Amino acid sequence: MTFESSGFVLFILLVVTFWWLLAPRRVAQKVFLLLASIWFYGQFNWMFVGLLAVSTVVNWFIGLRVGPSLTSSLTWVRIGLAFNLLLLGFFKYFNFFRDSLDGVLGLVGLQSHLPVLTLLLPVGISFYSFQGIAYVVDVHRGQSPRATSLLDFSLFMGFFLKLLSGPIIRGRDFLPQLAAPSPPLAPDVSSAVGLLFSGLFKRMILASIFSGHGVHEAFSVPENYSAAALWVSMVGYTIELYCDFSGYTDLMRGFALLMGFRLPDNFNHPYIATNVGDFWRRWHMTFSNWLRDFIYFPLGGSKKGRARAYFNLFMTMFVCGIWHGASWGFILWGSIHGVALAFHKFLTDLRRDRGEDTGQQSPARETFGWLTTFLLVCLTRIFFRTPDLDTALTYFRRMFDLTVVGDGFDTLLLPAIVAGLAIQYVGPPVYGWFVRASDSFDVRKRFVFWSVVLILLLLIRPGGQSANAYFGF
Amino acid sequence: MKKAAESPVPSSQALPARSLLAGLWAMAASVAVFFGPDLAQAYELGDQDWEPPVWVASAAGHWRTLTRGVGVGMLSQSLGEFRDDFYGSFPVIGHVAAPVPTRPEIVEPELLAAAEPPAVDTLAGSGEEASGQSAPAEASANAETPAPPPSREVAQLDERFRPTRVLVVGASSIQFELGRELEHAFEAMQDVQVMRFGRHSSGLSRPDYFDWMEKSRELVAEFNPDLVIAQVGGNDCQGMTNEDQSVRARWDDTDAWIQAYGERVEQFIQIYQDGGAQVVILGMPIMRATSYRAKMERLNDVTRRASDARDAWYISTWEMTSDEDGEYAERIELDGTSRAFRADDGTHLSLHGAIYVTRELVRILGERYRFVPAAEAE
Repeated sequence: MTFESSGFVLFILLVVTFWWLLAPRRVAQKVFLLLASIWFYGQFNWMFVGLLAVSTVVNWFIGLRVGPSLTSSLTWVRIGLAFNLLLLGFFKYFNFFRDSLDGVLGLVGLQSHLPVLTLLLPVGISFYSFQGIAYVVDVHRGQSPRATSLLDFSLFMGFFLKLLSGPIIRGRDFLPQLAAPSPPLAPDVSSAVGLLFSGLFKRMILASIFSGHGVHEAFSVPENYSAAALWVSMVGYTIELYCDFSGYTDLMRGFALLMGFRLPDNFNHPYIATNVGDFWRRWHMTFSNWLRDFIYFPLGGSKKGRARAYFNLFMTMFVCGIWHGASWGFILWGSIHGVALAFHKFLTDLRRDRGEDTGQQSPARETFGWLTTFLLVCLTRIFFRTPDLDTALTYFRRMFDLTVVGDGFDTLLLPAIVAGLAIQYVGPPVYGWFVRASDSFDVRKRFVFWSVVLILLLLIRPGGQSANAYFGF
Repeated sequence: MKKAAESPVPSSQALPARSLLAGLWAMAASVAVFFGPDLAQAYELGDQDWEPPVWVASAAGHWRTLTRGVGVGMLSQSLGEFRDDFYGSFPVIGHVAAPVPTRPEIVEPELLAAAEPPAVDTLAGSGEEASGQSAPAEASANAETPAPPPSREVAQLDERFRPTRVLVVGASSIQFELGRELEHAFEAMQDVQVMRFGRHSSGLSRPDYFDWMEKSRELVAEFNPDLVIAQVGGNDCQGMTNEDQSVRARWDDTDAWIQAYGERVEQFIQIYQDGGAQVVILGMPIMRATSYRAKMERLNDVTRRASDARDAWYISTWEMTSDEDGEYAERIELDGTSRAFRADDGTHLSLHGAIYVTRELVRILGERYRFVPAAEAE
């Protein structure tokens, strides 16, 4: 079921309708929402629902036994960490671990004799496992309320609008919303509709243009494409990934807001970043914050000396790479970003030592910073997207050989790239204008206005379909 | 460069739940009215992922008739065509072409008959027999050992038709990789003018989306081809409509669909034949997805029989894209290097796959048509 399909639209309309019809009976609302979430998740595979249920009950149970004032809290936190990591590790990394071990042992003529398991990766397992870890640790630190209601906690883990690809929500942000009484009025409807239209534009139009015009194929079979096509595809995929993932997040946040729930931001115009640290503060923010809180800070952050801070940055991004998938391409991608972050911190430290104001940048330095950051993000996407390292190296080799025989690129990609970059800058003012314009109409005219915009968006959509790039993680 | 986070701009006005729900359903209804014809047609044709009950298909048909009656269907269709034309108007640039072999696979049967009798079996047989039966690796080896140029005597004896105006038409395979390589190959022939027209996502099933009959008449009038090479069908495994959007045959109504599609292929061929052209129909290659492969087998079978009925030459590309076991071939040995044969989607050819298939097709076409490489003629 795609998020733009008529089936999903009908499903979400029914969910929103019954949600409000059941108000103000909060328990009935929540039971209904949980059943809808279970049905939705079950459409992928009903066995996934069972696994999510186990994860939910275990994390809820552990959550009842941790807290800053409880003596056995740390033990239960360790059990919680082990449970979530084992669950994730088994389904996501077992075969990768087995293959890698066999590769190493094979060098000395040995074999691991571990079985090859045909495992179906449960959709969203990375997201809800990390959310479980965050909940247990946050409650232990006293940074999140404890969910005493299994119903509330089940929705915290399984709410269908954040289940598949995040955003990764924290207990302190979402549990109070569940505990609050049903609001008498639907708040921020104009903002919600603005988010929905933003998501449709990014996913249904921009991301579809990229996915429908050869960008993905260039990464799968780079030997088919000329150097020019590979450069355009690299930038195109970088833009597409943002449009697809950020558009998806906008849609989910918009639908949630129609029911009165506020899901956290995940993107803050990442392609205007002028250094790699800035980029990671803007890209997939709920995940970046998770890495900061549960990897970087526990490793010591920047409090154990400079060299240790550089190492911690590298290790954090190394984990980031592994989280994205069990492949050397992701690990290399994460490692390069880790080195880049460490190097950027090293340069920043040097400038501070010289007494320079690192907060102030000249326009030339800012432009150079933007260019190098964007290029780094684009180039490392090759490791991120190609199926294996050999293909990645072929991609790089052909990018710099202008004579290689290969297909060109569709010039439709060029305006799509410009549009994808432009929304980093003009997105917020356009969005603000839309909300203000909506609020300036009375209720009837407001819905007429929205209907016209929606029909226009649907009319200009190209034939392709966006990729749901982050479902796989 | 600091920008505000992509957080919702707080709206100043909250809405009562009833107003919200009424508005949302009204929006959904307005979209359903505007795009209803498209949606209804998909349900009516049985092209959704799920099989709708008969009453849904029937209701969809009534809905489509109603919306068409009030002009909404025509408006959304016109706007949709404008949009498709717009997205299709962007050219492909940055293509670096493969060098054309100095001696393509044009083999003189008479010459070979005198010099190398065993070779005649594979080259002088019928189109059916020779249409890509050889395994890819063998054919690649053939491509690396070109036949000698024809002698003056043989050229005089050659009674094969010598096309001068070649039209290459079809769907995405012709708009992109295969069409481009075919065009490139024929452009390199002496006294041959080539015209190529490809339209992605099109086919003979859905003239309401793109009318190949009308386009074919235009192409005949514009270019007056003497040889037409066509590959359509990749998008045709679906319910068929008429030009006025009415349903001609549902895909799951097998007999009716086979009858209707066969007639349409014949009609398509006849347009070019009436214009004085000989017609070559390229069958669809084997597909990676087994479900799609089964559909293609039905489509190829109907196309082959319709081509035979109209005395057009059907050349199968199924075998030349299969491996030794008759299964989908992932890679191809081309000029001594292993290459990806197919595109990422398991449907289209890769660039090297297209080069390979083009060489095969030029070789097979050489049985009936005489092409002289321009480089060689000089």
